[in-house]
Amino acid sequence: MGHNYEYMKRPLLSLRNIHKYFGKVHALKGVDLDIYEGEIIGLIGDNGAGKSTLTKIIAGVIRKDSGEIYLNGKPVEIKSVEDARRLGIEVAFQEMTLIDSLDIGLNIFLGREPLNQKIPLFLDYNKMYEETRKILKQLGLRTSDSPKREVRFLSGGEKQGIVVARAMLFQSKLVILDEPTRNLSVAGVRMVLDFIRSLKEKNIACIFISHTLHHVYEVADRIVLLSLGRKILDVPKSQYSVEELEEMIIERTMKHDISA
Amino acid sequence: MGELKVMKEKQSGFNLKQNMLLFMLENAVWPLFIAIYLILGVIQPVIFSPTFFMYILYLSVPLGFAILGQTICLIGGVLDLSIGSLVGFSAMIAGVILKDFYGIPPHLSFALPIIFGLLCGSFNGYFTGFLRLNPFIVTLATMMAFQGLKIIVARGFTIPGSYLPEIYLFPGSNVTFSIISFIVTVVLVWIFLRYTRPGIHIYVVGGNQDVAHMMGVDPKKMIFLIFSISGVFAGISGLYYTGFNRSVPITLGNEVLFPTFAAAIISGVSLRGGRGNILNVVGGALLLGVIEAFLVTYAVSPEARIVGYGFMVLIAVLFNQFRDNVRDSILRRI
Ligand SMILES: Nc1ncnc2c1ncn2[C@@H]1O[C@H](COP(=O)(O)OP(=O)(O)OP(=O)(O)O)[C@@H](O)[C@H]1O
Ligand SMILES: [Mg+2]
Repeated sequence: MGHNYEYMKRPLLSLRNIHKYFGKVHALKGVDLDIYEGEIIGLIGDNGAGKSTLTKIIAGVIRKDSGEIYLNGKPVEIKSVEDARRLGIEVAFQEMTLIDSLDIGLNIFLGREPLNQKIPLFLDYNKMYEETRKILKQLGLRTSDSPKREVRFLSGGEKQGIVVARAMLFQSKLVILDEPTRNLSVAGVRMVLDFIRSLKEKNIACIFISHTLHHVYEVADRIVLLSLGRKILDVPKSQYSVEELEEMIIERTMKHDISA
Repeated sequence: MGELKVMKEKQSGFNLKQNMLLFMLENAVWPLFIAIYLILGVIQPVIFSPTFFMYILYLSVPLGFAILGQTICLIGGVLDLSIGSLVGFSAMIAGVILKDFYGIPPHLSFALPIIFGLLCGSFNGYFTGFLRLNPFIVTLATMMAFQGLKIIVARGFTIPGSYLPEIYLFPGSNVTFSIISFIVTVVLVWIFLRYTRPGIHIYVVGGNQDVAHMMGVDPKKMIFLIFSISGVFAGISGLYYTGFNRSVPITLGNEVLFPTFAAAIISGVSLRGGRGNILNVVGGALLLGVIEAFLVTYAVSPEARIVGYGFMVLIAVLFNQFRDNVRDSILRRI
């Protein structure tokens, strides 16, 4: 429904022929990808396929070796995390980027702490804890009572909840979630999937990376499969059942592995 | 419903007790300081006299500035082995310039050791931050370099205070000014670390550099900043030592490095980085001050004092470990 129309619009973000080397490892071998406003891409692939590497390039954490990135058709250079943020890109990394010795509030706002209106460089702690409490509550997280609790005392799932809450708070144009459902309970997974769907309503684009095909299938509009640094499948979900997709993934991956 | 309320109250009472215990643990350096002060005072009653107490405060100030620098490094997850040598070098080169070159306005003379401290600290910061070299090795190298430079620029001689402008000696030689300026500095550093963005980012980088990088906090810039600040404090320490001694002895700064570690660690600054309260570090500085003053009254030889400092660092690490374990076991349960 409305799919064809969407493809006629200009993509929000376009990646063209992205290459990345780590020493001798050729982690990305010329990846192309278009992401449209309000679209949810399910990005899947084996361990080491290059999903997180692609994520980090878009996030400004690492630099691509070659290729182009376009935002709304204009070429952009993403040289740093600030660049990415300025362009409206928000990322929840697979590494659960939290500082264990700091409290939840500071972790949510890490690197972009709210500043006091009057005194330059000074933090607005009240605002920080208030917003933290609000966003955690909105996500239905138990940690919302204690925004001053040190993160290292949280469980794995609670930490993952903080990471998702951060993405939710700073969502702008594109949200990339790298394995956001890992460690989560059934209710936690539901919370994340609901969040992803809510992005669509706000016309925000999303790249959802997961190894659980059922989760991806549930929310994604398009499924993109990476294998050994190459995109080998890019299909709208609507045409396939989850079983068909599964079969296709196995088939393609095997063929690609043999040829590679 | 009534039951629920009772349960809640019980729980909050429990939390209050726990919170008090946590507060005690986190600020354990103060009771420790008081205990050692009382014990040493019983052995040597002169310690209890108000004048002597002021003397302890006064004696702690020059070292105290160096401790502030080291503490900021440790919170930022790095360490500065060169800080003692830099205290000596910045004091010496400033002293030599003031002695041999005329025409430096006396009221600007204070800036000299601080500028040299900043330059040398930035040098450390450049290699560890921007070139990503190991801080241990870099500051070990500069420790030796600054030590050698101090002796070279001194040409082997102590600089007597009479060669230096009186106003230059003032901050370190005036007891009241010395103590008050230190307290003001501590409060400013505390505010900086807790309430400003760069201050919090020092904790962030100390907590985890990779995470800092991925969240847009540049560890390179932060480490550069941390070592530059440490250098500034080394320079200030050099200035105060000069006033305290009313001279720049060739040995100035030689006994600074170990106490800076001892004071920071015993005050609860984590060696793993990312944790520590600068106000408590004052307690650590005073603790060392009392012990130092006590040893002075018994005319203990400098060599024996060095042995003492060595063991003090060990005891401080043990104490810190113990405190962290207890603290964590409480916090985990809340
Ligand atoms: N910092 C790095 N240094 C060296 N090699 C790296 C680095 N990061 C990734 N690689 C390599 O690049 C390739 C792609 O890794 P990447 O993390 O992107 O995979 P992934 O698809 O996210 O896998 P997973 O599903 O396990 O998260 C792998 O071969 C990996 O070993
Ligand atoms: Mg990955």
